[in-house]
Amino acid sequence: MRMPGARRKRSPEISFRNEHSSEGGFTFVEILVSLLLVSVLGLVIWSGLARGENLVRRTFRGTADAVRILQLDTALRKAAGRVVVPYWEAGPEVETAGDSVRVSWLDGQARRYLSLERRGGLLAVGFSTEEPEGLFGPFDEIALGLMTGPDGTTRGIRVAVVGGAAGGWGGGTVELQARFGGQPLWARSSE
Amino acid sequence: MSQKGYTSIVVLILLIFVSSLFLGAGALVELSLRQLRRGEDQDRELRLLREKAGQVIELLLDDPTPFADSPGDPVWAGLAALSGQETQVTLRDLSSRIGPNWIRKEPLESLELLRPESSPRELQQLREDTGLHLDLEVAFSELFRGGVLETLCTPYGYFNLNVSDEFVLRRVHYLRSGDLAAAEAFHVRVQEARSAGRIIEPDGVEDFLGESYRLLFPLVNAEPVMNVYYVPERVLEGLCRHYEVPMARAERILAERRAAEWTPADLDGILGAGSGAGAASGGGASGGGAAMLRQYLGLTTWFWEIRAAAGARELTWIVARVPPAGLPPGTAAPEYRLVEERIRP
Repeated sequence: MRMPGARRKRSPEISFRNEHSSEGGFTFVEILVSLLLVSVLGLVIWSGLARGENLVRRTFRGTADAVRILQLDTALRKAAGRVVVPYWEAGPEVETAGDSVRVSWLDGQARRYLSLERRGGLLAVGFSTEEPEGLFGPFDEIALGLMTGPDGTTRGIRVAVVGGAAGGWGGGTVELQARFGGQPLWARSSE
Repeated sequence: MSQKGYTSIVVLILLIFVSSLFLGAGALVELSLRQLRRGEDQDRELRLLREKAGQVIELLLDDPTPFADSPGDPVWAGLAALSGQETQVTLRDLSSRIGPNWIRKEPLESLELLRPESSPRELQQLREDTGLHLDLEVAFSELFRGGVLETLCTPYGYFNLNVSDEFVLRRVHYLRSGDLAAAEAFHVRVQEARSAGRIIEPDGVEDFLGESYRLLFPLVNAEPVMNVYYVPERVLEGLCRHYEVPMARAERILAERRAAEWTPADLDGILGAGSGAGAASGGGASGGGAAMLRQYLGLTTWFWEIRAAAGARELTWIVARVPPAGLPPGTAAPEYRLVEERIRP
């Protein structure tokens, strides 16, 4: 029973509610600071994501281009290895047009040929057929040529490609050379 | 509170997206690196196989008796040392057989290599029509008896001026010079030498070929085409029969060749083709016949096949030994040239 005149005590729980109730809300400065923090955090995350995406894309592109060049190199070596010019011949018959090179003596047979042809940014490798056996690329530029020995005899094929890995990794033209599987026998070695 | 939950989902989706992006890039890079590593491994394997093949050539060059390539040469013992658990290295004589690309009609008839319904003239005509061939099965299997091309014939070998078909020599000249008139002039010179019964010796090749020497040597020379140590028995006997050399000489060669290492003079003695055997008329009399037989049978292997294999990968080299006259003046050491390289797979 409460004594007359005695003051009623406020419980601490009630006091807490009054000071921190949601109705009280945040001050304007608090909101500004939190907005600023969120913005800074957002900017950091955004720039990180953008940089990460860029890195991932470059990695994708560089790796894909490196693999493309590696695949082309492997295919060229195999294809050139199939050109077996008999030791009694003077050299292979070579037909070069602007966009293509044809070399006889594929698989040691005079009438069969290896063909390399530029088709846009792609390089088509074919074996005695109109339809290519393999398409490689795309590359920004492709230059076709022949590999010759110091004596001027044709020893293999040469393909220079620009683009992809060359650009992505800061290099220039990537030149690939592949020797024929067989070559004529001449009086003086010029190896 | 619901807004906080929504934000968490957005962050979660973002995290998943970013993670999958990096995961994908990582997987691609890993795959690519694996492919690059595989390429490097293959290159390393190939380098190793080429080194082994090169070491076989070193062994051939180290032969203390370079005038004779016999089964007793150190190269054969060296091969065993080069082969190991992971690498196998083999060496094979390729040129000591009959060459369908150059053989003349008369000895071919005596050797009985053609099918009964085929004639040497047909082979000659086929060579005129289609040229020379590396793949004997594809080119000549219709004319030769079954199994003969694999066991007794070879596409590798030099064109000996004294025993090669004259039309083949003309074709070889044309292939090298592209000049039909010059090839025909060379053909006439060969015909004249044969009509005169003249045997061209190795040191007379340069004079005989004249301006064509630069084009034709070492492909065309006057060295014996086959190595007596490795020539198949049937070919040896067939050639002795054709050139009327007593069969006892062939039997002696067959009996002794595993153990002996002959000098050129020894071989002359065995075949009866020593000094005085003289000119030959392309067969017949035993002295001239033996001298002609000596054009087929010598002590040197001109084309070797070297194989080096490691696991599934195999490298094959076909190397040609350049005849002595082709070496620069003052150089006595033999020289080998790579004419073919095959890589499998």
